[in-house]
Amino acid sequence: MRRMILRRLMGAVIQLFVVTIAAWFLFYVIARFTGASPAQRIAGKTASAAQIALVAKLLGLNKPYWQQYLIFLGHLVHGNFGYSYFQDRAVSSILWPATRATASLVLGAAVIWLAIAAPIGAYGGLRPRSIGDVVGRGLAIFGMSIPVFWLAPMISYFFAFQPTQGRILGLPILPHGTTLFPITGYVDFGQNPIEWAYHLILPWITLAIGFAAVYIRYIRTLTAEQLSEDYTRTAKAKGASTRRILLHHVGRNVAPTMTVLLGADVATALSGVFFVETVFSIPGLGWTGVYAIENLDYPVITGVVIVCAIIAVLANTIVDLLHGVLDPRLRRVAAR
Amino acid sequence: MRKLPSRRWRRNAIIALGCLALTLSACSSSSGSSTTTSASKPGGVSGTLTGAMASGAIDTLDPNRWYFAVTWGLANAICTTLIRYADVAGTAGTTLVPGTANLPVISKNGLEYTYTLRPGARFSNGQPITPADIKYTFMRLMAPAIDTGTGYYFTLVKGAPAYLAGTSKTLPGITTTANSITFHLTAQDGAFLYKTALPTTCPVPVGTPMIPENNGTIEETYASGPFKLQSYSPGRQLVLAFNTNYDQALGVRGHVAKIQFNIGVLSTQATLEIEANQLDFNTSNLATADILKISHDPAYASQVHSSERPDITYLFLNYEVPPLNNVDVRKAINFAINRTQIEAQWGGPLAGTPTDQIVPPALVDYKKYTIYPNTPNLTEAKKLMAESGVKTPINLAIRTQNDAPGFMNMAAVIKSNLAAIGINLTVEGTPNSVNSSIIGNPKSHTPMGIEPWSADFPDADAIINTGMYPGTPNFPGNFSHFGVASFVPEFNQAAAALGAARVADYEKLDYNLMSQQATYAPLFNPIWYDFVSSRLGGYVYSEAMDAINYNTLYIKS
Repeated sequence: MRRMILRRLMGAVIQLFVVTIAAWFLFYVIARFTGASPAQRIAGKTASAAQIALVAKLLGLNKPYWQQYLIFLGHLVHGNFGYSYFQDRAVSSILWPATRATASLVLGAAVIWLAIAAPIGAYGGLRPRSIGDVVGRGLAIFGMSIPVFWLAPMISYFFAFQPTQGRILGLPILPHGTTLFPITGYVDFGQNPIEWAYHLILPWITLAIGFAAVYIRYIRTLTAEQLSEDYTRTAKAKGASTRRILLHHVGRNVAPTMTVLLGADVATALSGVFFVETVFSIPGLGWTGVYAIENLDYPVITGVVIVCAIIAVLANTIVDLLHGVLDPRLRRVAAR
Repeated sequence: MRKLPSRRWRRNAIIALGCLALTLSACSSSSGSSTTTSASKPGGVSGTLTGAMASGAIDTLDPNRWYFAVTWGLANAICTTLIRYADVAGTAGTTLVPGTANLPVISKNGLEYTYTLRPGARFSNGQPITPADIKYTFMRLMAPAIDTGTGYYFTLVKGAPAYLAGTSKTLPGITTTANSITFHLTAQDGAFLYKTALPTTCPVPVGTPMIPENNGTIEETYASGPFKLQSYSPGRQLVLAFNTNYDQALGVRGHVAKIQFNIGVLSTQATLEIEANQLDFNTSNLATADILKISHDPAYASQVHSSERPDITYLFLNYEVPPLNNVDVRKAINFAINRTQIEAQWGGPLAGTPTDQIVPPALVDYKKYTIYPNTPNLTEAKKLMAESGVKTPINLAIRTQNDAPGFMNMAAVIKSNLAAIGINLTVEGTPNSVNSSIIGNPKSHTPMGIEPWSADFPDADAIINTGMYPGTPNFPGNFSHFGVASFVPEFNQAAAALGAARVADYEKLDYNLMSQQATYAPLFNPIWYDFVSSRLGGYVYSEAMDAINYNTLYIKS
């Protein structure tokens, strides 16, 4: 097990190193060939060539590429992501609150999508082709079909805006001026945990719907598969209750697969929740990245890419390790 | 499995927390962020207004560097420049009135402008603003490390070219006395008054570091307008607070205690928040769909305001890329494009007006003429192409931004229009930040591109001279690289002229440029829409700043 952990951690470090090179190369070298010039962007539309050159010098963009990369890497090793061209502050001070905001959104949504998907999926696997299963599968198809860029403004409109006009889902059943949820905005957990949750309820639901739909199908299929295995038939023959079979036998066999999926999906969601963040004005990683791209703020863009990579690598490493814990066969393979 | 109880507890706790929040919020009907109970009227100062701002709307909060429309709107609230624009709507709002100084005394030869500071001019920390501070302000805004492009406007101040280039540390063309400041020019500049009202001339005290300070610490202490910066969290929130050290004798301005801007709000979401009375205004233009919805709703008639902008969206035609160096080809393009259809991609008649001239109607030097049609005249266009002697088909690229609504569609319409006269276009779209740095680079040799241009001050000089002065064809803003030397005297004459002669000169120059050169293919003048809350009073759109005037806003009782 120890060897497996070491190998996985070593792999994670190498992956991160490759990502830093790729990110730096993409934004500091390749981007220059597209004609994008942060110095020109900062110097202004009517700035002279001399002014642009001066700004480039101040930003250190006039140095040879290898020097720029070594400076960048040297800073990174010390946890310094550099300095934002536009916000005049350390990139880490921009990324940390953004990561917190995105993590709040994604982890909260993950709790919701699992809470929805686990019972519906398990029920579908247990009672295939029942009315409950048909309804559950219908919901799953519906949830998977809705693009999040459409769902986000719709949820905001129907559950945040319409109540202020005395309606909900178009029905005039509320007093005019009712505020159920805020239309936009975000409050940091450290500032006020209640307001934090209140501002995130709709974004959580928005993000959770699509993932819940996918998980319903996964859990249903895995549950049905496991229920047809010999060991469940044996457990049933020995008089074990359905609840016990599901929790103690099927659950243990479904868990490793679900853990892998969850790790990958949380990592994907962490770096891909831009639409939800934009519609609900949550200053998360996606939002910060796009804002930085608008301003050619390369240190911030690179920082966002690296943080997303760290999250993805960490999530996958944790999942792999957890998988090893949950599935003894993997430990044995790693030991060989 | 031992951890199951703890997981269950956490899940239950989160659900309970969510339910509690839901219950609490449902009980608190009408508790929007902007529903302050206190009301204010002009003359009083109370209440908080809440506005929305798009991400990326603030370029910098350095008072001598800012350049975006939103930051100029903030500048109008935070700063009192030597002279400023009147706080009234429409073209009257482009009238210059005393600011920290009286209107200047101009020498008979038009080469000296003397501004006398008014008593009461001081920073928000109570420190008086001195002529030395004003001179330092101009030196700072023109310093190469600070200048974002407006320093160029003061090239005619004695010693400015060397100072702007960084080869001189002194600026002999600005002298001071105990209570006045004089600008000595090397040639007449008919727009000089406007230039001394630019938001980048926002006063800073002597000794302010000659390095950019983008996060607003200067305005927290050294604001000179009716508001000062209370706090700024980049990408999150900006708060202006009433400046108690602002002397209302300089002009009765500022009627609310605070203005809070929530940053990163989508325009469409901001509109919903205004409808829900959770927001008072938005610094972004209304989205096209919202213009159609809101402007036709009688319930919002008093809350929707449309204004002419000092802006033009145009197609630049690069003189350095054949066959666009051929005047007949440029004219043919102007005859072939469908301006009405192009403008429709922006939002149709409510959102803009097709135009074939360079100067927008919002500027004082505008005079209506018609040379090129709004819908294609292909007969004339094909005739001009034949006369040009250029062999068709021609393959060229058209470049524009792909991250703002409408621009790629406009390029598609132009592509379709020009195919009819044998010009095959390849559309190249990049985000605005990338696009502007490409077309601003003379080495890119971009054949043509769609660009919006907003005048820095309400005078044709800010569009014609800045965007196409033929003496500097490689100036970054001269995207057409227009360099026909025979036009230089006409440009210089218009730039130096004053009063009625100036208006006549620019009207003529605008006409001559389009009729003889077809320097651009002007497309349309956009219209600005604001949708404000029902409790917001004193709405004024400042044409000079291309933004809401925050100094006139108050909360209706």
